[in-house]
Amino acid sequence: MNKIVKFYHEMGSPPSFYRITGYWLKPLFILALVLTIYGLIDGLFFAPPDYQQGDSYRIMFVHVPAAWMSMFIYFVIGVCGIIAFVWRMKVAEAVMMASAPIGALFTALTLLTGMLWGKPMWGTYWDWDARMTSELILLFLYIGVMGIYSAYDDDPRKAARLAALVAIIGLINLPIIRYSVEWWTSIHQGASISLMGGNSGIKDWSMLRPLLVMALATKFYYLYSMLHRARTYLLRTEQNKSWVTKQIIEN
Amino acid sequence: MLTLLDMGKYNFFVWSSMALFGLMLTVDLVSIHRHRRQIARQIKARQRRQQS
Repeated sequence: MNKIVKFYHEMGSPPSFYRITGYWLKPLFILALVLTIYGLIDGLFFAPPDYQQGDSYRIMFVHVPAAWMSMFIYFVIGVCGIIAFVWRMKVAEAVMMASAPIGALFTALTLLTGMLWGKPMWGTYWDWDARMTSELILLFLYIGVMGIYSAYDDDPRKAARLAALVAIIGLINLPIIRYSVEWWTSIHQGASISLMGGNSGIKDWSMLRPLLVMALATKFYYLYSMLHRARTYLLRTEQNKSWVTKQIIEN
Repeated sequence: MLTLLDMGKYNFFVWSSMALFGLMLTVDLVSIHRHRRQIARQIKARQRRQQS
């Protein structure tokens, strides 16, 4: 069997998923920690000040990666939601529910650091601007996914299917967040980097480097946190199975 | 050292953002480990009840 197909099937089985991902946790955490330390030191002390925003733009090194993660994690939740809803795959349910708290955390962080950046730049902590409002709706969607699941906690399979439905419906919010600054008049600035090589976004490598490092660091942290939670989710929902008993005795 | 930490008139906003970032990720890190320990204890207790 093709190695990739074999790996895919292995990852779909809760005991194999638990065993394989156990080896990934430590390297992921170390990568996240080292990259965060490097990215923050580089961004706070070595990147030059912005000619318009001065030192306040350094908030970007936590705000922008958190905002990217808030959307990326919701995309993962949506895809896992579709898999869980259509194919009833347990690991997809675990990844979906494990991603929700960390996604909510990154969304809250985006909103709070955005407010701290907004005050000195716009003169206000909050404005019912399209970008900010759609990001706030994203936070409510995360809370909705977790809330629906908690409401049916005694039947995890049913809870996950209902949460998946909310997650799938909420996917519509992602393009709204992404294009809100283009579709509506907004006080929020445009994209921080341009993948298509346009004129918008940061051009100075000494500013771009810490931003990309922090983006990688938050990705690794998300993987670490999500896998940790997904493993715990599987232990809880599969506690009657022999592999869980074996795992608990071994640890 | 103080010169290094100085963010001009934006000290409060920059350092509050960094503190929030550190605090929220630390809370997440602590909570995932506590939750895992709690679940493991529950499963162990359940196994002991079943054995006795």
